[in-house]
Amino acid sequence: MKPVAITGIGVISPFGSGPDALWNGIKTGISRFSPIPEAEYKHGAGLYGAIPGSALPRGGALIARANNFARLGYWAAHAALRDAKYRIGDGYQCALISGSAIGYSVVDQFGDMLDISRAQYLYHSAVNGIIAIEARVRGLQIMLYSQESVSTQGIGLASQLIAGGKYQAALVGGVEVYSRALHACYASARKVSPLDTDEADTGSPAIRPWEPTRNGFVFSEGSCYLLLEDLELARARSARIYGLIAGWGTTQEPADDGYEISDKGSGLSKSIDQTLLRAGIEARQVNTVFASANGSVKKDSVELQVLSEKFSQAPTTLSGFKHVLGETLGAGGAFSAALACLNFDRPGHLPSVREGAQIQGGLKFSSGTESVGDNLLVTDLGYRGDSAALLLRRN
Amino acid sequence: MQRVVVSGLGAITPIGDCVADFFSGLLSGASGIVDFREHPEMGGYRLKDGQIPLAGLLPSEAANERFPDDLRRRYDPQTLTVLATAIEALTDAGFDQADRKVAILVGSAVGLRPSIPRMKKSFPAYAQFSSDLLPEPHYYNKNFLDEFATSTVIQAITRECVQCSMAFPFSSLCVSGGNAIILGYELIKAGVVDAALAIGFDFFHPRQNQVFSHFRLLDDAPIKPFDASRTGYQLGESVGAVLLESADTAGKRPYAEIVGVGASCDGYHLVIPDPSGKPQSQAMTTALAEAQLMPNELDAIATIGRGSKVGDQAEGRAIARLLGNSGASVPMNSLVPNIGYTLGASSMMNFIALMMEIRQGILFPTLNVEKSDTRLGKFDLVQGHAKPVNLRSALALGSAFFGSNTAIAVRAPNTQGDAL
Repeated sequence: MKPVAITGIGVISPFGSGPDALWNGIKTGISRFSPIPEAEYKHGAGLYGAIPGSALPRGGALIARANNFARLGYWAAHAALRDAKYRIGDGYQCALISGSAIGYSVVDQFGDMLDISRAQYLYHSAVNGIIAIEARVRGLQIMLYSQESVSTQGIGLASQLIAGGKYQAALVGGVEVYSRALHACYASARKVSPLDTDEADTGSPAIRPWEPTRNGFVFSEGSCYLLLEDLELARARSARIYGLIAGWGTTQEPADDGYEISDKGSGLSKSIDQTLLRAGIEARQVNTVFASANGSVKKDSVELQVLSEKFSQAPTTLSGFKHVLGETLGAGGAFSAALACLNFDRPGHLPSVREGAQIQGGLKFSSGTESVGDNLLVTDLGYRGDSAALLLRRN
Repeated sequence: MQRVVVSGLGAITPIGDCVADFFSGLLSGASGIVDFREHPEMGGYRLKDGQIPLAGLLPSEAANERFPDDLRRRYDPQTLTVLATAIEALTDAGFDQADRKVAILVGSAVGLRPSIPRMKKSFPAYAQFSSDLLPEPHYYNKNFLDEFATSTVIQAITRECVQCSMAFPFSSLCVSGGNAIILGYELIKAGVVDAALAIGFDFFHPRQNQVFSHFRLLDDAPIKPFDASRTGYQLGESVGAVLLESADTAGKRPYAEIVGVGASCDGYHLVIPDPSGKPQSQAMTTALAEAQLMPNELDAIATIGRGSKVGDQAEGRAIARLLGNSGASVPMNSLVPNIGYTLGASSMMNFIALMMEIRQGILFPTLNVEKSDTRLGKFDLVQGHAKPVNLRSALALGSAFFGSNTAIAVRAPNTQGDAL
């Protein structure tokens, strides 16, 4: 596949607005979770990563009237376009692909439709509508939703459309806000860490990827959009290129249980194979893997098993950031890609995960002293049989 | 670059629960619009002020009877309805997956939406609420989400009929079906997959009807596409599936070849389309440019023609921009009067009807039109009776809330003397 340039990043996370806030927040290694308001939870008290109220400007009437989901997505997309200094022209050459594990929950709609005059904002893709109107993005627009690997899939799909010459650019990303329906469903399927607020005060990390004591994830709100551009056009306009998308892959495997992945992780394995094939490289050339590990009991071990088989020979560093950021579900792939770009762009070290632990073969956990290298693989494993991967390359 | 052909179709609609019945219903001018208050799945829903009580509804339990008890226990009726159309499309194509890579693209404006009686039966605690109120959080569990998540459909298809290589559940509102075809086309063309199962669906819910009534898009008068006296439309529900294959590996004689696609977004208003029709026309121009077709070479246009004042205005002007003075020589039709406006399925049903028209060489008539709105342009709207036409190339359109538009250009299989 012809590589595609990433020229803009827009991100709003519990650490605040902008890539700097995210970068500095991850560097501190301290998560920013707060208790879920009592009226909103089901399975006892819990934590989540909330977007600070100050992170979202009011904006014009169209944006101000929208729900948090659409506003969060819009402001991140807006920031990505500004960051890229991209001239959108008539907009027909720019596609728009958003992703969210559930979108603006249909379950919640039954209640929110009481305010019928705002019903147009309730559709999953209202965020796309607002971005299209405000930012004049007028190419193909879709909202991938209802599984966790959607933003990784979206970045792959957008890269393919650009590489095939269909579009010159694409605004692509993910957005997720707290929904009590969504959270209750994951909690009842025992995917959410039952860690209560008292335990949080002891300083014990809420998400413990790959640790033997892991017991689930903590949900974080967040939105992250990237501007992807045709590489030659980006170079021609002297755009700042954070990194390149060199390959992608996604696979769906049959799942008996809608909330449990299969034992072998064969879908993830195929996704990685597709990605490496499209990028034209071998596993040993991958320097770093940003895994989707989020502290889930089974998912972490299946993912680790797949990765250690794939990278049995190569000296590859395994890292992640969800123990600090939290699990942003459908936006997770976009956050991974953005953090990969920031790591390419800025001198720094990967976060430390599972300090002192060893993996058999060529894979090793990042200890906080490694840098990212030139080829970085993002893996995204969802709970519903879906998986996706991206290969990012230093420009 | 791979060539992409359409090899299988599947449909369940208010006027027929398979493609053959659906198309014969269109040819005979059947209408599936009924008073939804009398439908058993409406669960005693009380109509709100100003709400239009008409809709095109699927025959109750149409698809469920095709499946054994274990599948009926495993999946909800809406998932089974989608699964039934997927199976119809695959069977129609005589599809043998072997080691071919397949993409599943499931587009729906709002996704699954359980009927009120089902919600009350499946979640007894919900029954004490009226359908207006938000249930308290402790009524949610993981099964509750399964009832709503489009990925449930993907799991059903993956488990029951296709070991797919990739799957994308998505929404582009009312052009979801058209975008499913467009994405499938792009993935096959680029060689990413060998075949794509594109699905567009949406089910009726009275609250959805209330939203559309609130925006004054609905009316209880018959739907009159592109008519000077059009007043609005009624919603409908349908499911459509299309199997796309690479021309190299397709088995039987295909319905048509997809030769160009275009997608655009108005960026104008959340509900109202750009009245100039320029962005919609852009989607058509893109599709025709890729197809290397001139507008006057089209033999038919499958329009949306939902019969709304602003929607038809934008679509009509877009077509007039494309066709210019030759507009009156290209026949067009609309199936919305037959099945209602089916949201995410609308552009898919359009496409399926067009495939059948190409195969049978006949255009179905547009119902209820009395006097074509000449302010929109000069159009040759097929009215009264079905019209036999030798279709060599045609365009299928789609348009949606938030201004999304699609256009898909197709070519009949035997028009260039090739092996298709």
